[in-house]
Formats: sequence, structure tokens, C-alpha cells
Amino acid sequence: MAARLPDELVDLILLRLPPSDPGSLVRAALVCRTWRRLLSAPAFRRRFLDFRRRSPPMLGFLYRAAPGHGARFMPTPSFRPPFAGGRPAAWRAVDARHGRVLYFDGESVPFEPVLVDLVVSHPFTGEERRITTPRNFFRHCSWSGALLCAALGCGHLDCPPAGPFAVVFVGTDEGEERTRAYHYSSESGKWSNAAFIDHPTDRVTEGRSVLVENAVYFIWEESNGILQYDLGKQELSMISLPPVCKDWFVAVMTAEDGGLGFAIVKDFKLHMWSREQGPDGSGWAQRRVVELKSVAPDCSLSTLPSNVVPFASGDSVIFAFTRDVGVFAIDVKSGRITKVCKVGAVYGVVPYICFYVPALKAANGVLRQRKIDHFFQKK
Amino acid sequence: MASAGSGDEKAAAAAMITLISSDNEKFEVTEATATLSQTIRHMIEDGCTDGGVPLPNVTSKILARVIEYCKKHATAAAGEEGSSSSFSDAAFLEVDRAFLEELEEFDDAFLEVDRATLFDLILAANYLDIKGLLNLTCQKVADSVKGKTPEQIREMYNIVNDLTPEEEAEIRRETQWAFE
Repeated sequence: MAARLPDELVDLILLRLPPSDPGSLVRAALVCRTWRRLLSAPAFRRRFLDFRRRSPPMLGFLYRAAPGHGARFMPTPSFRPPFAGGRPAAWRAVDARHGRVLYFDGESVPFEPVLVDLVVSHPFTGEERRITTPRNFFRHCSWSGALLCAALGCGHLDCPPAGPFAVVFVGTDEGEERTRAYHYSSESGKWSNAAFIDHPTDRVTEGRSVLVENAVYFIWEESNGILQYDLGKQELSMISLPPVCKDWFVAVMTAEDGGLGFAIVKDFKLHMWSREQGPDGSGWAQRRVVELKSVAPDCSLSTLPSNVVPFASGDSVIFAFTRDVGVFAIDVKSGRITKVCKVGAVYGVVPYICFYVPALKAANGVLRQRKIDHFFQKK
Repeated sequence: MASAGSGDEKAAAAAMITLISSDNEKFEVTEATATLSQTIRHMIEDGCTDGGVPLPNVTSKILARVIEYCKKHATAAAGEEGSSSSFSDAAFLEVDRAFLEELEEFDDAFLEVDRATLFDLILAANYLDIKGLLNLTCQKVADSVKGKTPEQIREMYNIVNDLTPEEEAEIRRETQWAFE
């Protein structure tokens, strides 16, 4: 029956296979020679990413089952990255972006400095790079880190798995009321000198950061503001938040318009805000409110603000994690809520959001290569 | 009723297009419905629709379904245009959402067809260049193979496996995770 459809139309169908299930591309490549040829064409890879340009899928998330447990990878039902197995108890996931995961490897022994490292790992290639923390690590009573692809000209839809990366480390020294930022480049293998900013009592908190254009944004623990690190200028600055955020768990995210945004969960509702440029400078505007009652009618979400961790996937989907209820995806445009998976208690959740298009070889190419290999073996 | 009507009627009549299926059945549709097809839109622009538009690649059975789709979506397109001025009105947003839901329900019901018809709809949507319908039908096929093994996909769509066992083993070895 499929023979009745010309290749160009089979191609349109294959283009619509779900990016959230990279295995479907592999299985489709095993259907017949035509499907395999279409799927392995270099142009297909590019068009597949273009087709879903605005929303890389969530392929899973990293979490700990209990404080002190090693980070685990919870894949979406259809996906198993080859190198995402259980991690040692001392490892916890700090960030994941552009295909890689940033782990913190260190015993948390109070008042006793121990050797700690950061580890950058790729769940598909098995790459693992151990990097030392910045020089003054133990000075910082609280810190956060962000990992990003540093490949020149990369649009971050199909980041080279072995390409260069950068890590931004921010840490607060509460005694000094000062926060410092250090910038690691995998190419130089070095941390930059510290950029710093002085501020009133508050501290950065480990948690999800967001990359918007050429800056990484981190959240302050008491929600007094957002810390901005400019990747080009290597400078820190502060962005204040509206008073409504005070005492609530704030998640920084990409707003629907692609700019900086944040979300809070308050009174059974997910409130989403975005940053706006007005005549008097920049401010915040509330963009959307999504009811969460239908998600967990029996749970008192509103009394546990830190139980819900919202983050953005592309510009259309927000995921809210609740420790007792499960993991949910909220389509911002339709307001439709779906359950991603059911897990018990989860801590230190770091979503793993990226495109993964398996590299498939064309059948003929493999055959030819085999023949060449055979030829050389004979000689 | 054959006598000359009012100006309005004439205008309405002028905006009707006749589509002729491969088995020579005639379908009268409004221009708004017909122009969801880029192919027909170009023919109208070029003034070659007098005496009807022959569609030798589309049977009457499939054309009837295609028209059903275009009618529904032409109404939707008109609704969107008419209301764009009041987009900030919360009440309208509710209406808009309800309408979109209705449209989604229509699409879901529309796709409840056997596989042969679905393929015919894809071919027709491609030939007539109806972007929405092509997207909808191709997505339906893509969704149908989701979670299926290669064997199941071949069976569903009567595809002959022309890969050698060696080639098959090669892919399976490299991407073992996809089969666990």
C-alpha cells in the first residue's frame, strides 16, 4: 500500500514522527530500504529539526529519589539514552542543556572541605569530562551552575555532541553580601577571573537557570530578583521581580515571545510572566494563568509552593513537577495538561530537553563500506 | 428559478466553482471553500475555471471528503479574520477556544477512515495543494506507526522488507536502545 505514495510524501510522513520518541526514527529505518534511505539523508536531519524548530522535546529528567542519593535519569516512556545509568550517591545533577548534563560530584560533609568536582557528561555518547570547581569554591555558601554548548555559530538545535562547551558558576559569599561568577571554557580548560556584584542579603540557589539570547539567568533563593550573567561581556547584573513573587518559589524560563520570563505557582494556579520594554525601562507583565486544580484536586498544592517546579520547553510547553502527584506537562497554548510519568518523591529535578536525531547510515553506504573492509581484509 | 435573480444572487452565483472528479461527478462549491486549495486558487486567478475544474486525479468519493474538509476549514478561516479586531476581549477568547476545540473534534472524526482512504486523501491533498489537509493526514500516518515495531509497520502498510538480514542487524546493533 505504501508503494502507492511517492517518496516525497513518505518523506512528509517520516518528518512528522515524534521527536519525543527518537526510537521511532530508528524503527522506521528498519521498515524497508526506501524508508531507510529517506531517513538517513543528511537533509532529512536538518528538515526534521526545522519542522519542530520551536519546541525541542523533553526526553526525560534527572532526579534524586531522596536527598543523598545519586542522580538518576527518568526517561520518557519511549526513550533510553545509552549512557544515562545510575550515578554514584555523591553525584547530583546541577543542569542539563544542549544535550549534556552537568553533575556535581562531592561529599556534602559540613565544615569539612573535601575535594569536589564538576562532571560534564553526554547521555548519548558517553563522553565524560571532569572539571575542577573554581578556586574559591568553598567560600560560597550557596551556588548554582549552568552548562551550555559553545560551538561557534551553533543554533542549539543539533549541537555537536563532542563540540566545545562552557560552564558558568555563580556563588554567593553571604558574609560579604557579594556574588561572583566564573566562566569555564572547555577549549582553554580554564576558569575566567571572577565577575562580581554586591547585593543585599540573599543568595543564589541551586536550581534551574535559563539561557536567553546571550545571557544566563539564575534565581535568588528568597525570590528577591534574578541574577543575569552576560556571556559576552562576562558581567553580572540584577533584575528585580514584582512584589507578587515574594516568598514564592520562582522558576526562570523562556517566555512565549522568546524573551526572559518566570513562573510561580500560587493558589492552584500557574502564573506566567514575561519581561517587557516600556517607556520607563523594562518591567514585568503577567501573560497567562493556568488552573492546576484539575491536575491534583486532592492535593494542597497551594500550601507547598516549592513542590512545583515549572520550566519551559521551547516556547509552548510548561512542565510542573509535584513531589506527591507526578510529573505533568502543560501545553501553554491550549491549557491542556498531560501526565508525563508517575514517580514518588523526586528531588533536585533537572529536565533533559533536546532534540536527538539518531545518525543513520544509508543501506547502500553500509554495504559499500562492508565491501571495502572486506577488500582490505583480503589483502 | 432559472430567471435572472437579484444582484446579490448573481454575485453569489458568480462565486461558485464547479469541480469535476475523475469519474465525472460535478461538485458546486463556494470560491472560499475551493481556494483552500492553492492549485484551484491559481486556476481561478488565471481565469481558467469556466466550465468547471476537471480533477482527473481525484475520485468522487475522495473529492466529497476533501470538500467536506475545506467547507469546515473555510468557515474557520472566515471566523478568524472577522474577529481579529477584538482579540483582547476575554469573552471572545472563550468563544475562540470553543471553536478551535470543535474544529479539532471535526478533524479527529474526519480521520476515522480506512488506510486506503487515508492514502487517497494524502495524494489528493498533495495534488490540490491543501496544506492543512496534507499536514493532518500525514500526521495521522506518522502517529499510527508510533510505538510500533518495524514488523508491525510493514504489516500495517503492506510494505515488503527489502533490507538484507545483515543490514538489519547492523542498525539494530548500533541503536539497541530503540528496541528495549
